[in-house]
Amino acid sequence: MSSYQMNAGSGPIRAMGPSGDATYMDLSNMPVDNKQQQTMMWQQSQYMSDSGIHSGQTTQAPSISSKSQGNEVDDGDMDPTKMMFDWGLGADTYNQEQVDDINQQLNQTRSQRVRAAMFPETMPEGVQIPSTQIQPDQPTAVQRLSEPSQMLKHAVVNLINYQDDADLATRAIPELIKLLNDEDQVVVYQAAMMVHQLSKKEASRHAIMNSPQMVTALIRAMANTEDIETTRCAAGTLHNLSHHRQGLLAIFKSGGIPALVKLLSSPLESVLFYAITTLHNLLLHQEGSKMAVRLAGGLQKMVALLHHNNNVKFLAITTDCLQILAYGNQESKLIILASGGPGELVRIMKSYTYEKLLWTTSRVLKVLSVCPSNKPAIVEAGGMQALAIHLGHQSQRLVQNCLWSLRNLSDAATKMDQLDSLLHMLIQLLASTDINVVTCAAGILSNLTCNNQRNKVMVCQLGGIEALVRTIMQAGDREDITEPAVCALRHLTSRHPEAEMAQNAVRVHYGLPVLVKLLHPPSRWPLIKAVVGLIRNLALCPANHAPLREHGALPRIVQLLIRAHQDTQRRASISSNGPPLTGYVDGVRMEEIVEGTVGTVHILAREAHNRAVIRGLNCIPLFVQLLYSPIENIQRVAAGVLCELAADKEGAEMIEQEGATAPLTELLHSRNEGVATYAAAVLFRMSEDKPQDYKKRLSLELTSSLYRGDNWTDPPGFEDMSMPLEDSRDHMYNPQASQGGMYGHGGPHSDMGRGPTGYEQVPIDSMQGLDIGSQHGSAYSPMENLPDLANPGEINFDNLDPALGTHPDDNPNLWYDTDV
Amino acid sequence: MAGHTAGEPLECYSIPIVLEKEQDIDQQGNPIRDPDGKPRYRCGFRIGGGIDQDPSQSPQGYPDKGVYVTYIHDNSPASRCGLQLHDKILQVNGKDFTLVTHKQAVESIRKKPVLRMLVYRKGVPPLQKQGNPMVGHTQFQAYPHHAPSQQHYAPQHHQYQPQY
Repeated sequence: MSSYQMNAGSGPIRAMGPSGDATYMDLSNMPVDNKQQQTMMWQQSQYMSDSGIHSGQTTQAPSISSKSQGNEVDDGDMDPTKMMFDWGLGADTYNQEQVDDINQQLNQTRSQRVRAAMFPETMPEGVQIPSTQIQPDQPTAVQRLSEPSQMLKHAVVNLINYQDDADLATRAIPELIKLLNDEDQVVVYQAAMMVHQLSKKEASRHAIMNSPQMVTALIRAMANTEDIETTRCAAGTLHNLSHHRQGLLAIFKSGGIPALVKLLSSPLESVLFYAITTLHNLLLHQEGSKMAVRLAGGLQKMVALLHHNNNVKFLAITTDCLQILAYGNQESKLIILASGGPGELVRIMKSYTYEKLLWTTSRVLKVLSVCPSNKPAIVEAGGMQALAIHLGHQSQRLVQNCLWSLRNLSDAATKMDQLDSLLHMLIQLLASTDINVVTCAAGILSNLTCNNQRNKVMVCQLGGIEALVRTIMQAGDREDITEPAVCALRHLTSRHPEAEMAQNAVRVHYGLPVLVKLLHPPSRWPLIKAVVGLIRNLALCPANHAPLREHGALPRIVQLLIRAHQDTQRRASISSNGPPLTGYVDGVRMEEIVEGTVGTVHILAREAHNRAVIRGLNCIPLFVQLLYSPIENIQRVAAGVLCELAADKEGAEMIEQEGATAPLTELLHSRNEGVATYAAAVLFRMSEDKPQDYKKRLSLELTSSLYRGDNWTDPPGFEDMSMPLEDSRDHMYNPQASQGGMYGHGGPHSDMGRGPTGYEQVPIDSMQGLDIGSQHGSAYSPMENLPDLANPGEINFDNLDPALGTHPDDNPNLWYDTDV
Repeated sequence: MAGHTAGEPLECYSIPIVLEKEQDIDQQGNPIRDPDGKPRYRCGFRIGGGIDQDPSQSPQGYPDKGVYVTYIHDNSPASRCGLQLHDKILQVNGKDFTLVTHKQAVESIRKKPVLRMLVYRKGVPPLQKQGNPMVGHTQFQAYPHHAPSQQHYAPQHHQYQPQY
């Protein structure tokens, strides 16, 4: 017998049957590192002596015959010229006839194999076709082509069907239009049902879309019929059409929107579903739909639907529609408000857990929360608490939207009481790694602690001070974060029972170095102003004096004061011939900086070391100059700091040398009680070692000017100033800065910083303690009875509530007109 | 008159205007009354400014602390009487308006049903001290106004809010 020999090298194994090039197995990607491996692979396949017809095993190309004992393959001494092939169990060698036989069988069954690969559904049951696969994991060519050829088959089938459908539809549509317009309701119903069926298949759907009369007829039938099934079929059809651009356009043009809005009152749930989903698609993709829905009264209906429905997916679509309609449109927001929207939305936030619904609802709330009319309604409905529930949610987008909404609402919520859990969450969120989250949390805390004692105490107790200090440290020079955080600390360090604890806590948590650092560049004026105010509060705590001095706070503050003052002088000289120039730099007036820095130095000057530094920095001339300022607040702080400095003999002398006596005497007559009181105190201290009769005259003059009757009541015309608390706002967040997607995102802060100064709380008794003109040697003991002089500075209110969306120019206090 | 400092003497030509108010009515045509029963009148314009306001904050950019007309409603007595936008009101029913607070101005205007006003309007030629009165401009009447001896000015707004 002859044996066919296999080449040692790899190579395609060709069938050498009479049919020439037939099945051809490409084994070139078999690993052929060595011959042993190759033969081992051959060995692994099992060849039945019956060529595998019954076993279904693949057979090898019939051109190969084998000798037995494939076990010898493991030996290292295979003769490469004689590859042995193992045919498996009971392998016998085949002679040529048998090989030819096998070949022929395989050829005959080839077409079966191909047919089986392409049309498996046509194979009769139970037929076994000889397979040509050798390796279980190496598919044959036919096998590898089977999937693509099936896909091709499907495509061809679809095309054939499509053509059918299109033809059908084109012929049927005019008929159907006529039937839809029929008088008989049953006919209409049948026609609608038919159209609905047609609309499920693509080709006919396109035909329907492209026929405007059909769409019109559908809409008319839907609107006019009393039969709810007809409505349902028609609505279903429109729903199917709404997945395509031409469909949307056709519906829109044929006046579908008013009809769909009407359907929102339907009692049948499927109709509601079709209607809302179609409207949603229109709102998303069809230009002009928003206006049409608004005009058709869609908003009111959608809000009503929120109330009567429990299906979370339905609610999600409805709220998304509301969001699309309300975004950027003030009137829509007012309509939603009038329909009771805020209450419903808050209820949804409280009651459901489906994330998509919560997300879409939070977006609506965010859009509404910038509307000044909606804001109080949302807050009153419990919106803050409802949004706070979800701040720990996994979904980042939900948390972010809730935070933006909360920030927008926070200025209207300062009187609210049950915000404890919200405050707790916010403090935790300060530690988040997401910058946006931290920014929002800081901003909300800043607003909520403004003028609200309960919140201040709660935040302190919950570890807010430490969290805020850490946030400031980690924020570096990101002023978007540091400014609200510093403002929050400023609120927390004054005017509530735990203020002293807070002032200490800032120091304990290593806040002082980083705060002093923030006084330097690159900090901009708003941040500097906030830090200066915070340092003033911190200086109220004696334990902070030394650390503040060590970190060089005082020289830097004086530097800022000088710079700001020079700026105001420059403006004054430029505008000496015209109306006064009010200069805002970065949204902050330099006069405010002057006032803030002097006020801070005033408190720092309580400590003797600091006083020495202040004297050394040669500030006294500047303070004396500030006494001449036309601005009362500046007069007050200047007089205040001089009062502290005059406690030392050198200080008093320096003050007198600067010629402070004259302006101070002038200020005695100021109708501002604080100014007058401080002025009197400085004069008194300066008079310490003056002759007795001078003191006597001075005391007479002081008491007469201070006890002047009209000085202690509201000066005439005071009520003209008409500064109700609500108008005195710190403008913190401008959510309408851009509507391009960051709706509600914080914008630059601009400070308006105004409000009543609250001097009515200066106790009248303060000067009664003065034992002026006493016989005692040391004049300083009577001054101990003036502890309250330090207080006027503390009575001042925090920055009051921010007003969103207003600009400094709109501030009614500066200039307004009245209708007569 | 590019901004007149209140309290200083002023001489200029002014325009006399008589405005008769109309009764304020609601949509059904019923007259609206004050809480104490008196009928309410409307003039139909808005005023801004005053000695206690800061004109640099005015959107219109008024140069001084006078009282200015900032808006005139259509179809109102104001639109019919010859008053114009941005007129500066110098006097109303004999009361000087160059040294009043905003509130005082509003109250004075609301007092009487007929207003006899003198206004200054930009474009009115300046008063000439010597010689001939303006020919052809007889509607202007010289407005000699001398500073009253008030020492007390209405208080300025507090501008700055300590933030503690």
